[in-house]
Amino acid sequence: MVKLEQLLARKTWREFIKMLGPALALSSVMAVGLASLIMSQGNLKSLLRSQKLTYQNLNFADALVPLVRIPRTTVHFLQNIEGVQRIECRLTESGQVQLPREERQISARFHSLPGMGSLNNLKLVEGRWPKANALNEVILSDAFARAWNLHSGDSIRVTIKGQGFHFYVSGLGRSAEYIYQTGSAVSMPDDKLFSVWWIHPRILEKTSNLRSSCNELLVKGTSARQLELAWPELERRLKAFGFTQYIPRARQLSHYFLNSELEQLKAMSIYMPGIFIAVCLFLLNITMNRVLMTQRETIATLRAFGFARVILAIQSVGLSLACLLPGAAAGIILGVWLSKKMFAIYVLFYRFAYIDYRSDPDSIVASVALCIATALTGTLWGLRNIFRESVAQALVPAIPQHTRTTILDSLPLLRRLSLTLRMSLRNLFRRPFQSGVTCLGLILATALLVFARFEEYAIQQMLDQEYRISQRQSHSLIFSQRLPISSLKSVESFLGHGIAEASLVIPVSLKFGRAVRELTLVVKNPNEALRKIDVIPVKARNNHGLTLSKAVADKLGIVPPAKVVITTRDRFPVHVTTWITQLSENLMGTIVTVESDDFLKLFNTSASFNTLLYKSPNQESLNANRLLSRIPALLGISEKDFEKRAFEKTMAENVGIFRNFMIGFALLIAMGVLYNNARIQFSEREREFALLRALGFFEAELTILFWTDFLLLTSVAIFPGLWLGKRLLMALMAAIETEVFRIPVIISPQSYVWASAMLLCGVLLTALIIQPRIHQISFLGILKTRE
Amino acid sequence: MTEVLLEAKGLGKRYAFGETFVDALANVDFSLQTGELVVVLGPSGSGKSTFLNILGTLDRPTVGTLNYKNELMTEKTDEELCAFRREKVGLVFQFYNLIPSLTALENVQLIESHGESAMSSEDALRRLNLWERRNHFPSELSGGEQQRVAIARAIVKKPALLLCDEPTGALDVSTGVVVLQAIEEVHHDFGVSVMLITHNVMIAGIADRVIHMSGGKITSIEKNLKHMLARDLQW
Repeated sequence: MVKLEQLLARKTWREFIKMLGPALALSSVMAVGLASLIMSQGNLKSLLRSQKLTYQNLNFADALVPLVRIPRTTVHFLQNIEGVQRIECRLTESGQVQLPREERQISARFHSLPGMGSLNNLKLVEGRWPKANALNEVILSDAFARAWNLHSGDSIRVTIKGQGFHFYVSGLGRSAEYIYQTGSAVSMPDDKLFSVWWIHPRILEKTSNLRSSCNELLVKGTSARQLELAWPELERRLKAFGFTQYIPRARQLSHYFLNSELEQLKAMSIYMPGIFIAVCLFLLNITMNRVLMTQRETIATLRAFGFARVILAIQSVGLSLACLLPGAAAGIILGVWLSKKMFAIYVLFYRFAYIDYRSDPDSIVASVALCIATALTGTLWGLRNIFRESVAQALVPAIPQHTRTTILDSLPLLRRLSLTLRMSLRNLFRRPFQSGVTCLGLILATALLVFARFEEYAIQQMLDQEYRISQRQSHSLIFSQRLPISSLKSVESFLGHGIAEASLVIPVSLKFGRAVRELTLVVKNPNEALRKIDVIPVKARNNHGLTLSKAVADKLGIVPPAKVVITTRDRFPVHVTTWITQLSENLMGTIVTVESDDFLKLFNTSASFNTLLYKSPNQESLNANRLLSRIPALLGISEKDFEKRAFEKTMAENVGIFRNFMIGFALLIAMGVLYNNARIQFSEREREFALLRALGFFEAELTILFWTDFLLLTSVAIFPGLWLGKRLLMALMAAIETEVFRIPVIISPQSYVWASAMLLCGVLLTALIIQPRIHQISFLGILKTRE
Repeated sequence: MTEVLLEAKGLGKRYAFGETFVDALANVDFSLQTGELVVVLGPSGSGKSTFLNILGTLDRPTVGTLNYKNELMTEKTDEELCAFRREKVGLVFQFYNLIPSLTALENVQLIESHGESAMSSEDALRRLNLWERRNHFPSELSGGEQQRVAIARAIVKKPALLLCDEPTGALDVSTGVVVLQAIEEVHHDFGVSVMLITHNVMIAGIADRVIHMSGGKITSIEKNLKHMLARDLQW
């Protein structure tokens, strides 16, 4: 004899087979929601772990102190300061690399080779360590090596302080200090134009004339708090050795950029999948509820035969799980695979010495539990509604909500509409809940489409703003020192016939209340044409203050006019108390600008420049090596197009990948919403269509009628969807905004058109999927049953 | 002079359930004259609804042929049959099957344009004494009123053939009589051929001919010699 459980299981299985279409759509939506969360969390947590591991294993120092000269023997005596756990010294120098047939300037930073177990150590990724007495053997940063396809065993020519060397690359290395490898001149890393070298200390002692001394301290504190307390004493003792500032880890370029990125990613990993999963949960709940309502009469029949509610509930839950578990499994597999892929892309860009990729079991368990719980809530809610009815009531088909005369019918406009349009409108109003839910689903789908595609346009906008409108020069020439304005003519004579504008760019600290920020002070000339700062005018106490980037002002809570203290960050710091009188809308970088006349008065100095903006005629390139050899004070040349390309590359590799996944996910969710709603809508109107077919309506007329409903809902949903998409983006961008990087929430018309077009394509695609059901409509059974 | 409107020869309808078959209709020969009112009687499961569905081209026979004015209907495509129903056939169902989102008037207007020589929706509703109720939705009408709207909807295009499937099945006697009177009037005034299926023997009184069915077959066809008016019916 067949067991009862087997029979019920068979029933559930057959019902599931009948529901394969909606189950597949539900599963896809769930898979996508889960995958987005698992992908983001897995990637983020692996990046955080890799960062921690690299910092720990390579003894990344808590702070860096640039000095003029400190004897090695003196360093030992600094160890006893309370709060300092370890202090080490090293030599650091800048220089250039000469590669055959390369005209662009390749800057280099040279550090003395770290000893075994010392701070800011290295991990060798290729080759071997230099031999103890081989002065020409070096370790090269693997980012630079890979960009130029260099390997251990290669020989490269470099210049340090005007002296040329031929170095033999014994190995390639990675350091916690250069996970994000960038020089100071440009904010976007370019592995081809910036290199890091770890070389024998004796070479640097010789080039910098620092025998038995060094020019940089690496400090590790017993704790962050203790180290903070130790600084006054350290500062006091280091004054004699040229102390000007200490650079805590938070202000070191690699850590700063990596942390900014991780903070952004953290916000993205919460907001974006959060929005995706919220939409999925909403759909799962609603759809499971509506799917269950199709089982109403079957459940009532079983109740009539004396089956306990709990058994029926288990059956319904079983059916829900059968619909959802494939989605959960697919979501986990997809999410883990994508997080691995994403992580692989990130580690190409952020060069961790130690990598610890693991999928995040917590987020997997939590998200699967969340999805299933939500779907089951929908199921149980539906069951509750069914169980509230008497068995007799539930045995007969649910009485449809009847149309009664409403305010809609009193509108003269309604009578002018075609009968089919009137039918559609009344249908939508007759089932306000169902229509509302469908509409909401479509609104969310539209919002996701706007949301997912936005960055592409925003970044284009940002590039346009930064590289076409704000910066109009083709090259920036950076000098090692301030030059008197009188020397401008002689520098210009080397450049050609383009436009040249001198400018002064100084690293400064801005102090507002207790908050301190390191910024770049740009001294502007009144007739500057190559640089445009987008100023937001405000009512100022006087017009001779500074203009601060809005992102920084917002972070520090500065509302102009605001009194600040500016300190230059050089060997002889100058402190000036002045006013922030205006804000600027720059999207990248942390800058504060001042008019040259105001600067001269404030700092009581004479006119000078250390940067030359140059616009070459016909976008010709400058020969960097030739200029560097002819202008001794020239430190480097950056080419705007090159920077722009580096930026675009970064975005394509970084944000672009995330965005592509999100576009795919948004499209899938939109399709899931459309398909499920179309099916439900069709089931609800099947009887009416059967009747119309019996009365002689053609298939094409029914198709039009069905899609009139759906297109009405879609057209109602599009505009709120676009609006919601923008709101979601504003929330996301506010969350991920940093001081150095801001993505403007400017949604181009193309974005809106694209989102609307995608939604309409989804409608058409769904129409094609649903069409066979209209074709196969059976009017015989339906017409013999009571409505 | 009357002519044959519909002619069925050897009609059969077989349903397959796995390896077993059920013959819902078997070897039925029948013809319907223009302007004739035929009542089909039979118990539940006798095949009368299947028969009506095939005559109304709502279903296809498994075997046999169906001709409408010498036109072979069984060879036509679904869309051609749909066009045939649209132009020639009026349908009245047991459960009215009005469109719930359209008012009484709009339900009739929906079909108004289908016929070749249509009357106006207003005429159709007035004829059935429903003009005053024209702006009411089906849910705001009584069962009898709904069925009369269904008849108005069926006749508005002046169909050549009116097929009624248990039109009084869901109604009480007095309402049923009103509905039958409406069908009778339409039949008389427009010369529409009517085929009405019912299990109520009393209704056979209004027919020109009465067909008895059982087990998917026509067991007898008899002329109604005691013709009655609908208003005189009682059950």
